[in-house]
Amino acid sequence: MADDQDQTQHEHEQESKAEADSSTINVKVVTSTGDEVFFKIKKNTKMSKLKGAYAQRVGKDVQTIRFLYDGERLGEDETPSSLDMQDGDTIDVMVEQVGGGRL
Amino acid sequence: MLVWPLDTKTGAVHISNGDFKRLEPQEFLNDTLIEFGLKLWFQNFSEKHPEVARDVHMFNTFFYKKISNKDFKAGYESVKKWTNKVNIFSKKYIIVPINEHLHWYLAIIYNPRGILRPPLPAAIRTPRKSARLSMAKPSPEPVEVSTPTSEQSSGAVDEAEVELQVEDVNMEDADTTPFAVSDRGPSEHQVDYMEVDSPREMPPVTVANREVSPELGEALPVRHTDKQAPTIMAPQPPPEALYIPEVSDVGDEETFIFTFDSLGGPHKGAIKFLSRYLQAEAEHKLEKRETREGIGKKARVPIQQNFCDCGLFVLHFVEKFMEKPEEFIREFLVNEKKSAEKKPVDYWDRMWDREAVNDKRNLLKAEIESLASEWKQRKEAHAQDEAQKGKEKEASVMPSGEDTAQGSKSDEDSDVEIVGESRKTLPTRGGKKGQVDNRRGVATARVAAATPEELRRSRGENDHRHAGPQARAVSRAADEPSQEVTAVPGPAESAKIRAQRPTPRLPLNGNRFIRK
Repeated sequence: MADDQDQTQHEHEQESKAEADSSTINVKVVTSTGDEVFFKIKKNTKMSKLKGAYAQRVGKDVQTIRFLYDGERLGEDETPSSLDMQDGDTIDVMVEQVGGGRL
Repeated sequence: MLVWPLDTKTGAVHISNGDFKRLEPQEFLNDTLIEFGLKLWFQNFSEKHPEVARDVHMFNTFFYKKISNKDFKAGYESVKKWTNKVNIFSKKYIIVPINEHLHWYLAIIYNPRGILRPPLPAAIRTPRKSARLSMAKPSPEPVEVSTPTSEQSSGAVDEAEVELQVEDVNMEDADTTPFAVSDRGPSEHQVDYMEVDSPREMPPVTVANREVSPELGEALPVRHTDKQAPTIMAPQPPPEALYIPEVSDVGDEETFIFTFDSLGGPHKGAIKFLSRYLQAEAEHKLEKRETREGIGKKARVPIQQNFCDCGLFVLHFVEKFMEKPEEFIREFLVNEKKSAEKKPVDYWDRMWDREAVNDKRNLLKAEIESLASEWKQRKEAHAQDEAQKGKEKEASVMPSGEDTAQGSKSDEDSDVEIVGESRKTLPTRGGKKGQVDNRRGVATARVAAATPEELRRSRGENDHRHAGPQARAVSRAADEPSQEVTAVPGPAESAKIRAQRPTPRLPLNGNRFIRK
């Protein structure tokens, strides 16, 4: 039991170190009208977090915005590391589209 | 409610309960449902017709929004990277779902590589048209038609030949009605073809036409003679040079951009943007500057009887079209002239299986529900694996009163602090907390209303507030307490930007800004 705990602790320490080493990158969140918000985020920051922060910042319901990276929707759990993002990369933010027919 | 496809991350579609409710009768579909519907279709399609699926590229619903920028260059720049991993000119069909003015419609680019050839001088292009007409309604004019692109398009010949050989088989089946589609329905339609005097489908063509499309004329020696041959002027008709146009050679010749709108709109603007996009893509990715435009064409489709179903029609159009694309394209081109009137009233409805649209909502619902339960099971299984880890993290965060909401939501949010940010548009200040997910927490809410001074202050505050719990966190011992999200241009600069460029306020609420 104690061993287990030590081990997990050890793992976490390693993980944490790796996270600390991974440092931060700058990303730009850009709307289709060209408005930009710059973020500095850790490479292990989940996109859900960034998205939440952005939504909050611009006063939108997080449900109505989409983050795209190179044209693909970003998963909530993805991180700059998992996406292999580079410093200065752009995330497109799009707003929900609805349609049924012109009125 | 569902993240699909189940095994992917990037590109996965997150369907919420709110999205799902949009499948109720009368509701408008949103981008998420459209993308889900298209991706689901594509997955099934890839299983059934892998070889055709390889020829398909699908853009998402935001692609057109991006390229239809007043500043086209900026629009193109913003999607340039989207095709880094794919050469769209190696595809045959490019599917572009489009949302404009609360309306969904569809564009499909056929044979994008057609634009890669040098542009036709107007002088050649025009006679080609008149030449076709002259074949249809014999009138003397085929002379200046000659050899528009023989050298230019020599590259396309090889490709054309391959396809044409396949088409050849069809031709023999359809012996007496050279242009009729052998696998298609009622014979009266085949008669229609004979009566149609639109250029493309004129069955027997001779030297005149051979000169119109030399590359294709050479590629297709045709065996059977035809009774309609006399209607064509044939200066020197060697029978072995008879050329019967088929859709595949039409397609190999040009790029077509079809629009499919269940409200019947023509969408010339969309065609133009897509054509320009192809040309820009050719220039940037293939360094081809001299390219020609795609040919826009409104596809004949059934018209929706209500004001809510266009999204379903878009999904349906993609599905049906890709079942027999060549046949559809042939039909679209055939009906260029007056033949539409000669079709039975319900001809297009039947061709498109119009009735099937009515069930589409329920089908999609059922799909989502069944996938959602599968997803939930997997998620639960996954959650059990993560349980140990999650508990540790939760426990570590709980003591901070303000972060209770975050903590209860497992580890997802607990490791990020928002320190500041800057933007060009004026922020909509305050008041949005109710709409925004609670678990985003207080820290973010504060920043949302920050002035430069406040920003700096809140940065300090955040550090302070989270230092305690974070320090206690076994799992995060070496983690920085904050600074994961930081404004890059400093507050001062951000203020400058705001002053320079007072861009319009963003709408407050997700739904409101969409409605006009």
